[in-house]
Order: sequence, then C-alpha cells, then structure tokens
Amino acid sequence: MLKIKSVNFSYGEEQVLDDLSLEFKAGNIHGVLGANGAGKTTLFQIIYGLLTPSKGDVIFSDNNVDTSQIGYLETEPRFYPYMKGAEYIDLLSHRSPSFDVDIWNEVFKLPLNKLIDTYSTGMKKKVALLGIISQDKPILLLDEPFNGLDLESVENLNLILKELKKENKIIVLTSHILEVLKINCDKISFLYKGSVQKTFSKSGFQDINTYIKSDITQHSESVIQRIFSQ
Amino acid sequence: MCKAVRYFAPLTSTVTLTKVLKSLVSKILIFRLKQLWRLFKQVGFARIVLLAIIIAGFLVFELHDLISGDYLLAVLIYPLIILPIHLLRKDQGFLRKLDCSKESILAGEYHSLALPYSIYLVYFQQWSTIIIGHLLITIIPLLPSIKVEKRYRANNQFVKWIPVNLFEWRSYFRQRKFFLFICLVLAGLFSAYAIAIPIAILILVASFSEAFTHIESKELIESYPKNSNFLRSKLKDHSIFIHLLFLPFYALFLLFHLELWYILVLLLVIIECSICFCLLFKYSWFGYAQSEIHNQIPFVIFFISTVLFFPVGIAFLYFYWKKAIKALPVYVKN
Repeated sequence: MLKIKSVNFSYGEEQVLDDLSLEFKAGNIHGVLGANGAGKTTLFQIIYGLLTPSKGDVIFSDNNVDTSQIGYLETEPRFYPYMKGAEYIDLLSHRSPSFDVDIWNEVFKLPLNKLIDTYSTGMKKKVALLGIISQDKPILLLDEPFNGLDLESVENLNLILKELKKENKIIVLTSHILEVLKINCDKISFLYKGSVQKTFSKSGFQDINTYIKSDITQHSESVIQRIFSQ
Repeated sequence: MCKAVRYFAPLTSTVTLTKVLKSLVSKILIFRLKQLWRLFKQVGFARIVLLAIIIAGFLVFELHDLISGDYLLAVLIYPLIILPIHLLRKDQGFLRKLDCSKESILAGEYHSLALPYSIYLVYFQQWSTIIIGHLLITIIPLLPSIKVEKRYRANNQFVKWIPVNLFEWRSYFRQRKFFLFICLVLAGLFSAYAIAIPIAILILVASFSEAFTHIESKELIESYPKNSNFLRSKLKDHSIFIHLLFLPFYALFLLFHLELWYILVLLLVIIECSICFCLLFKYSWFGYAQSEIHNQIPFVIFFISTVLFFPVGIAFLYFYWKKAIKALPVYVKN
C-alpha cells in the first residue's frame, strides 16, 4: 500500500497541493483526473522524490517511500541526445538480466537501432515506457501514458496494464481522456486546486461526467458563450 | 527590393518617439534583455562578473592595440560579430509570425548588440568607424540566414567501441565526429612539432563541455552499473576513457619530445580537472526541471582559471563536488 498523508506543496506563494491524502493499493490501478494545473504532475514528482513536500509524508509498506522502487513515466519523457533506443533500454534494464527487449519490441515495434531524437512523440513515449517496464519496480507512476499513442498502441497498453496489475504492482496513472481511465482503473480520484475533490470507485464511474460537467465546466461555458455573443 | 522598402519604411515616415517605444521592436528588445537576465541568473552572477573582468582586461590591454593600427579591422569587427549570429540564428520562424517586419526587429537587435563596441570606440573618437560599422549592420538583416538542419545519423561504427554507460561520449562523438577526426589527424601528422599535440588536446578538451550539456534522467542514474559510489565511478570511468583516447598522442609526444615531459604532466592535470569539472558541474544541476544546462561560460572560466591559476581550479572542483553530492538523489551513495 502506498499512502500519501496530508501532503502540502507550494511553488513560492502559489499553493499547488493542499493537505492532499490518497491511498493506492497493490494490484490496483488508480486514476488521477484533473484539469491542467490541478497538481497531478506535482503529486507524482513528490511521490518520486523530485520535489519535497512542505508538510506530509509518502509511506510505502509502513516506511517512508524509497524512490528507487518507483518507475516514473513523465508526460514528456526526456532522453540524452544522440542516444539510440537500444542503448537507452540496455542501460535501464542493466539490473534486470531476464528482461528480453526483443520479445517486448514485438509489441512496441520500435526502431531501436535508430537515435531517439528521430522518434515521433508516441515512439518516445513507448521507449520510455519500455524502459520503466524493464526495471520491474513495484510502483509505477504513469503521467499521461496514452498521449501521442496510435490506436494499436493504446490497445496494447491497456493489455500491458492489465498484466502489470496481475503482478500486484501499484499503478497510478493520469489521463485527460476519461474513457481511458474508466477502462483501466479500479478507482479514479478527481483533483481540483491541489486537493482530492472526490474518489470514484468502479461502480460510480458513470457519475464522473455529470460531476465534472456540473462543477467545473459550467463557468467556462458561460464565459465562452459571452465571448462568442460579442 | 520589396523587402528593403518594407525594412526602411519606418525610417522615412514620421514616427514619434512614444510610438517607437511602444513598438514591437522595443518589446522584443525588452524581451531579449529579460532573456539575458535569466541567462545571467542561471549562469550565476559571480561567474558573470569574473567573465566581465576577463573581457574588460582584453578590451583594455589587447583590443585597443589591435584596432588602433588597423582601421579596416576596427570596422570589420562589427560584421564579424553580428554576421555569424544572423546566419545561424534559429528564431526566424518565430519572428516571421510577429506582426512586424522581421528585418526591423533584427536591425534593432543587432544595433543594440553593437552598442557597447560603439561606445568603446566613442572613447577613442573613431567616429567614421562607428558610422560605417552601423551602416554594415543595417544591411545584415536583409541577408538570408543559413538553415542548419540537425542530421541524426546513428550508424557510426566507431562509437561502438565506447561502452554504453559512457553515453555522453557516444552522444558527443556522433555530433562532432569530423571535428574530432580533423583535430586528432592534424595532431598526429604534426606531432614532430612540440606545440601540435598540446594545442590539439587543449582545443579538444575545451570543446568537451559540449558533451555534458544534458542531464540524464533519474532512471539512467539509478541504472549506472556501479551506482553504490555513483559520482566516483563516473569520474573514474570518464577519466580512463579520455586518457585511453589520448594515449597514442601521449606516446607520440614522448617519442618526439621526451625532454618536454613536464608539458605532458601539465596536460594530464588539465585534462583530468576539465573532465571532473564537466561531470561535477552537470550533476550539481541535477533536478527535475533541468534537462539542459549552460555550462560553456562556467567551463571557460574554470579552464582559464586552471591554466593560469591552478589552485583556483581545484577550489572550483571542491565546490562543485559538494554541490553535486547535495543535488543527486539520496540513494545514489557518494
């Protein structure tokens, strides 16, 4: 179990996370939903140890989380320039000798002998994901993993997530595509202005659309109508 | 022709000072100043002051002697500085999107850039140089820039012998293979001259900072083969690699100039310090938001300090060693 306990974080004056608490179970996929700037990426960076919260703790198996147990897929993965896909995977899978890149690449279909700089956005996402999978860590934080993927890759990723779930991993993922979260997740938490507004279990997923519509978009709708009526 | 008419139009029309100040050109210039301020903040004000002292020293002791006797050179300094900037700039696409003549913006920027040199010339009352220099600058924005397209070619067989964990060198060799090749071949061919190998090695070492301008992701640091002593392992592996690369040249130097062995010792120290600095400086910036660092100015300062005042270089290394240890993840034991 990964527990986020009353985490606070601010960038200068701006409070990004405000007393945020969440729990992620092993063998579960937990979705985090929220508008741009709601604090999703900041939350991931705190769990991953890239940012230090001003208050609160991240607990894994009753201890403060050891960030080397976490695999983190960034929204826009970054790579060292002039590095081949094969080299990247070779370096990352260094401690997992059983990882067979060739079998995995039958699914991902990446030109691993080419430089990553020449990859498309989706390919970069896939090679980063492959790298994280190769490390076989118990916690996976996937920030917008479906961004830029083609239809086939989206289906493949859905299948991979199912299998990783069976391996009892803790998987937390964000996406702006609600349907993707509904298909993959056991729970979806809705983040708004740095705190969890509501957590939906699978049986309540059908209410998410109505919830977002009623609480969030009403204001924007009236503003947009005002702009276009001018 | 049309381009030129558009470019010179604001000069011929009656534009009030307020309008000019509110114009897009002035906005762009203010934006450039902000960019410069941000760059200064990133590089560090102490280093900028140090660099300013070096430049001021050059201006006071060298530049005046250079230009006072040579009128043509004094004029040519204007295009020699501005022209490469113009030809190689990468923001022309952005400037084209703005609702203003691109040439006017470029002219505004180039004249502003040349201003410090013009002020310097005012002190020596070289009026005609200033006028001709600025006239030359006025023409430069009309010249087409060179489109530099990065070519990504992975299949360089020679990088295969570089261990994959020294990815910085693989990356650098892929980018700068011709430069490296020419330097090394020339050094080899002229190794009978005592100056050739030290100069070639110093040029190469000075360019090495380019290999360390990107910070790898946390996953790559975690996966480093011997990360129980990450920083030490990194320094050791990179040192071994670079000395192995230069080994034939050390041998050639000793073969032809054994009596100058102490030059080689000095070179070894400079190479070692430079590699350490590049690595330590890179990891001192480790953090999520930072994927690319501006290490050229700090490296130039370090390099000059090490060559001229050796202990200063060592102090730099100690400072960045401490900083890198602090910045790296806790579990990467140093």
